[in-house]
Amino acid sequence: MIKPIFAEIQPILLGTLGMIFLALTLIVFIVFHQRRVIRYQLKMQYMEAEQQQILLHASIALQEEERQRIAADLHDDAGPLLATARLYLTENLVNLDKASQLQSIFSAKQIIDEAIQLVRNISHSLMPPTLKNFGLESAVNDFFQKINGAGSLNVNCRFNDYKVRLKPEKELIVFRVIQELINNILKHSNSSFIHLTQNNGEENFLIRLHHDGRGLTQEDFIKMSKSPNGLGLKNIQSRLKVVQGNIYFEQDISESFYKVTIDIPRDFDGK
Amino acid sequence: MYENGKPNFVSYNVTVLIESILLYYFFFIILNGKIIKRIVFLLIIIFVIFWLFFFTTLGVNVYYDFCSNIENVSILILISIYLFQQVVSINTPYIYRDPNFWVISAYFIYFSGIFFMYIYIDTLSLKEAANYYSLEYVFIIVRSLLLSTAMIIKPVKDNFNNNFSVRQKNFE
Repeated sequence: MIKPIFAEIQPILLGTLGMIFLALTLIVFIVFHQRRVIRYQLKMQYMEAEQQQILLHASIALQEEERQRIAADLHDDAGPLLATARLYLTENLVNLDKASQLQSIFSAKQIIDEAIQLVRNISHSLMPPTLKNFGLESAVNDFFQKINGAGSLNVNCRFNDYKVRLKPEKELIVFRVIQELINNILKHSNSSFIHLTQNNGEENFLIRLHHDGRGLTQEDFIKMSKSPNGLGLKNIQSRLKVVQGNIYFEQDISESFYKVTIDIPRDFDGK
Repeated sequence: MYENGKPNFVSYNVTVLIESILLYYFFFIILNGKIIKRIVFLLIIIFVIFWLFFFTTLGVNVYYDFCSNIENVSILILISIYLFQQVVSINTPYIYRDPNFWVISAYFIYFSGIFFMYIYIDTLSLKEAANYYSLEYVFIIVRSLLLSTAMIIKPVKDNFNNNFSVRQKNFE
């Protein structure tokens, strides 16, 4: 009597149990999945904050380094020059004969000229006048000419589409990034040539550097930017962050040279 | 639901109608996406049309099992959509601190539990079917407990995403 009823009941009970099991599994899955996603997002936030912290420290350290350099230049070079000029122009000068007076004034003038040149150099290193007056293309050309002048390696650049200048702040950032990259190539890569090309994407301003020395890949760059070393790379990163730009390091398929691409949105500031 | 020992189908059918409309409205509020909201709205209209059709053709003393089945299946589908949306995008820091989640869980377990019963109940005799009503009572109790939990839980403000964006802004 019980058996046939049980046989009829079974499919409904099994179905019900199956559905309940499914429902509970789904609910539990969603709760745990969400927790995992939140944990992952929090971890990402933490890592992002950490990365920002590193960049901030790097940029502060670089700023301090720059200040120290300027302070050293002023203290070690401009200071002694002006002190020497002062020595030539003492009160005792009036008691000297005319020839000595003229000699002292001439020497003081020479020293003051030197000091003026020094201050000008410091000022130029802070903001290259070519960049300010003639734009990025001329500034890069100027910079490359100076490197070529040394004769140790061949450096050239080609701006394919730079009729409309970027905003001055943006130009300065791009120029500083190029300077930093070139300095790194000169210091570490042991390459025989550096070639820079500029192009415009649909909405981007692109700069690409090629060199045939030892270079970095994107993985190396990420690794180095997370490590406490590599101040220059962090500086590049923080500068590009300001203009919402990106940088890509890669090795060519032929493995004969390395490429660095700087990608900056042109319309970032609504221009 | 019972009147003089006989099932009172009038109140049962009216309960199904009210419960369904309220549930559809609940989903209309909590689900994201214009298309889904329109579908839910359409479901309300279709359900009411069906209910009125049975009401006018079969009268009040017949149980509208078709309406119950429509309610059952459509609510299960809407629950699945809600859960899918929760997997895809996280709107609350912890889903179990959201009262909506407990309401959904209550109805998910309830409708999952009675799903097979309602489908097969017509194939059973009245005596055999009576054994199953106790099973429904169990699920009603579970549903009520979960709904009570939903009422107790205080809704949490969405600080998670806000904090994230504020933090981002501070660094930029």
